[in-house]
Amino acid sequence: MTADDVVIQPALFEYFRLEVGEENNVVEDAISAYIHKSWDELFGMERGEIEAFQLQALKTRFDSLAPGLKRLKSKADRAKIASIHTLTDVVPLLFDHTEYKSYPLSLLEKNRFDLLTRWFDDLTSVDLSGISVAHCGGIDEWLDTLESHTALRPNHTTGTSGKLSFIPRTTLERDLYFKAYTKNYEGFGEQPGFKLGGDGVRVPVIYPSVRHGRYIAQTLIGMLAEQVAPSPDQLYTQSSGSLSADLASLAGRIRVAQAKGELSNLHLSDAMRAKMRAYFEELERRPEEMSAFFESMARELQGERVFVISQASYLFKATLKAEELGMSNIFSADSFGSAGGGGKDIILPDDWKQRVSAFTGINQWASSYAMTEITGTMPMCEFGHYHIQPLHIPFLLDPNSGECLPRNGRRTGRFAFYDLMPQTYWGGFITGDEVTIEWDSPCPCGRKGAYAVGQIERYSSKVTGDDKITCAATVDNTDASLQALLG
Amino acid sequence: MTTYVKIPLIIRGEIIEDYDIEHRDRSGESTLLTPDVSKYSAQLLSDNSQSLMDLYDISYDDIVEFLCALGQRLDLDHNPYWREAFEQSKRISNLSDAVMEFYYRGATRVFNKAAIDEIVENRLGGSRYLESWVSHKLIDGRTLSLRALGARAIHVIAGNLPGVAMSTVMRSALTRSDTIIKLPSNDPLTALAIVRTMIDMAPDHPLTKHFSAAYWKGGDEKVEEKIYQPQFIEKIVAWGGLNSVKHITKYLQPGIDLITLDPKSSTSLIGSEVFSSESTMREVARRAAADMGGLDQEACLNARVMYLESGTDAEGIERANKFGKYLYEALQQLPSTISNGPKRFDPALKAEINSVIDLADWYRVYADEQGLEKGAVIVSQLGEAVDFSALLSGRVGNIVPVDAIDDALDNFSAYTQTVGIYPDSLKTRIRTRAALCGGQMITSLGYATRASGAGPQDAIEPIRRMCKWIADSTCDPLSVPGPWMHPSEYS
Repeated sequence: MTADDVVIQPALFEYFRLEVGEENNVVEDAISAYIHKSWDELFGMERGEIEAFQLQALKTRFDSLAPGLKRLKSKADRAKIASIHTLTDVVPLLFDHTEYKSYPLSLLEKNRFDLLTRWFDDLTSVDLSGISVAHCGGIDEWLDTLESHTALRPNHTTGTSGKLSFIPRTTLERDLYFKAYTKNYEGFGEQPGFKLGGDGVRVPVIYPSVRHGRYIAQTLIGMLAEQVAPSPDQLYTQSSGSLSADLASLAGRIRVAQAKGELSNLHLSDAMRAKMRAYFEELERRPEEMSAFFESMARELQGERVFVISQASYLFKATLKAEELGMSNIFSADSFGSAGGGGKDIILPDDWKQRVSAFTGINQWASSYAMTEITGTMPMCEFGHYHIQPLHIPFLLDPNSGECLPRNGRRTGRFAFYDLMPQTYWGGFITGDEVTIEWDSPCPCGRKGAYAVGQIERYSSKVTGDDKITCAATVDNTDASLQALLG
Repeated sequence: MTTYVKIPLIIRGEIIEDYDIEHRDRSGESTLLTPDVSKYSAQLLSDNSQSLMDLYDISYDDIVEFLCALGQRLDLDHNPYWREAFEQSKRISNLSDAVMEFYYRGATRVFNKAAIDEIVENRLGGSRYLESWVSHKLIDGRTLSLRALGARAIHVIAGNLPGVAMSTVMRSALTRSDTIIKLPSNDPLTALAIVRTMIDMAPDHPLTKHFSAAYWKGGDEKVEEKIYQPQFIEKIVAWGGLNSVKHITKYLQPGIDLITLDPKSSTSLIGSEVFSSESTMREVARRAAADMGGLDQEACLNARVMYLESGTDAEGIERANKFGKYLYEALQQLPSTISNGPKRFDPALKAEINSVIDLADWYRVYADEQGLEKGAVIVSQLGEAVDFSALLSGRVGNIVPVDAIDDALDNFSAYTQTVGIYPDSLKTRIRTRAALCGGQMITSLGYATRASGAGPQDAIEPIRRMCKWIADSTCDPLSVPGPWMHPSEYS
């Protein structure tokens, strides 16, 4: 089967037909609609079938986005790429993680949101040219303004350098993201599963984080409150506050100034200093308050079917406390959860999962590999492999040269992907993760297609983890305390 | 394929090859095999300060003679240790092979009588404080005799340039120190090769008997909590940044003197005189290229962010862009023994540059069309340094246009090291303020990578600080009344 033989069917599920404001005229297209197919269908596709679909879809994405996305267009011109003929043609056009934060940091310091808007405009097909942002006094206000005039619902990250990346998602991509997220709970083959949210399963949700904000987790919380919790007040967060992008950015700027040895050049107003102190204190306090939060949840929702989403380290700390108090099997046995991330403050023992299950009573935990920049996840199967769905085109790059490694056998490299779901921004992205992909040998779980095996490690932690001394100042060896600045 | 590199432990002339620990090296291609240093800590540490006395049986001239003979033996073609160190450094280091070879063929430039004498003359006022008690009469009548004595020291050295190992050995020998060199993972063999050469050359020489070299993973508490104790160690000379110094600071207590040579970043100040003619622009670009690209920009003294007094209006930015283009061209013309481009271009920097390369309103990037491997010059169009300035390496410089060159001083900090300035008249005018703002070594533009060992380092005097400066007061009650005496006894 070749790419030209593939006809991409429009979505059959009208219920899920996703639209953004008419003025932007973005509706879910036939490619994005693949997300509504069942796992059996998606992971039942043969490699040839997958790649034919991917190539056709990739051509569509490139052809429709390149003329309007200035950043993509210049990259394509520079690489002399006018059209896509093979999957790997897209590799020179994948965006580095720095692309979504390539603006000069000083624009934030000087409140030059007009220039920032122009920069952002080159990364999305949504037209931002007519929006006045002159009045904006901060990032939160700037993003509020963009959202009130367009379908944009951007996510931001903290980024490793401390500079915020802005991912120009719209309501469409937000909804696709959420659909792809809930898909983790659908079954494959004989495995039980269910449809989460909407007219499917609706249960109270426990999410020990901050309620509002524009990190991906906060977007998810908003969607869970609307789509999964029986009513929005049955979405339980540890704090009902908001994670301000301005504070996240300032924290980042402090780190950057530190790395450059220019901390003394930063001037904070007393109000900002106080906000910053509160922000850091809350960050510090959060793990401590976590056990109390879980305790109160255990009392309030005892015996109920719930959905728990938490960092593994938080859950385990709460478990330790619960073990002391002799609490166990708190929630009903058909509850389910997701425990992600290792957490830096605690080393989890081998039996952490069993002990968390014994405390909560939850036996069904979904695991997956994902990042802010990708729509959806790579679900983990019972053999511990992360399966890559056809809507994500995976690549492994040589970590030094950036060259694409052959897409066969079992290989390790820097993970990159083209995410076919987004329609209003470029889905090509290079991560900072070292991943091993098995391209050919099928997984015993029965899912077809490539999958990631073994540990996923960040290249940056590999580098800084080493014992290298040099006399030249670099970011990793000039990290110092914030206390002096915060007074 | 993993190759195994043996890193013996050397304790005062004895070579210990009891390898039972493996460490990954920087290249990821080889594994370092070392003895377990914690097993040998009792032997490594000397709690007998008098053991240094044998170093006072030899003269300054003997020491210089020893060092010069040592330098002769650090010969790439005949010394297998030196060759092995060179080969390993080529594998790990980002310096290009030709530049690396220039260093490994340059031992006699460091271990050289004229050069050593010059250092001693300029930094210690001659060898007399090393050789004898030097007496002065003070106004209260006493005779104050001063001597610079050696100490038991540990050097946590940097491995980005082999010169660090060479100068550590030279300074330690000159100051008659008992020296333990903590070898760096990015250059575990150079200092070791020097010490092994000493053992081959003169196994019983007092200097040989006072050099030890060991590799352990920095921060290994099992080793470090035993070593960093004031009854064993009087001085710690620590290269590197917060991460490497952090685990040392927790062992600091009275009795241990910490001398830090921390990471630095260097800069250039180029005055408007550069634009006086086309040929001046070209000439200044060549000098700036040497400061930026010499030593493949692997050293702290290399210029990274460079300030140019071009003006920041449209015309000024155009001037800056033109200079940026000349600078990139000059970079390609540098002699291959000082600059060849890095072996591995930092992928993180590559990502940053690729993300701004099309933002022409903010950054103008001069680089080869094929890629960044030959280096690059980024001219900031907004008059401020790139946000990723801490990553600048691999012969990538950032030109920041300013209206007045004095404005650049706002960006100086404690991390600023070398400041290359053009023209010299600007240097004379601005140097005091540049130094007060953080600049530590000031030089005519073009000579940043040619710093002389005869000067102070990073605005401190490491050689003086490696010594214990002992004062001996001789007082005769007839001329210096004692505090026990009543005024009637001496008035």
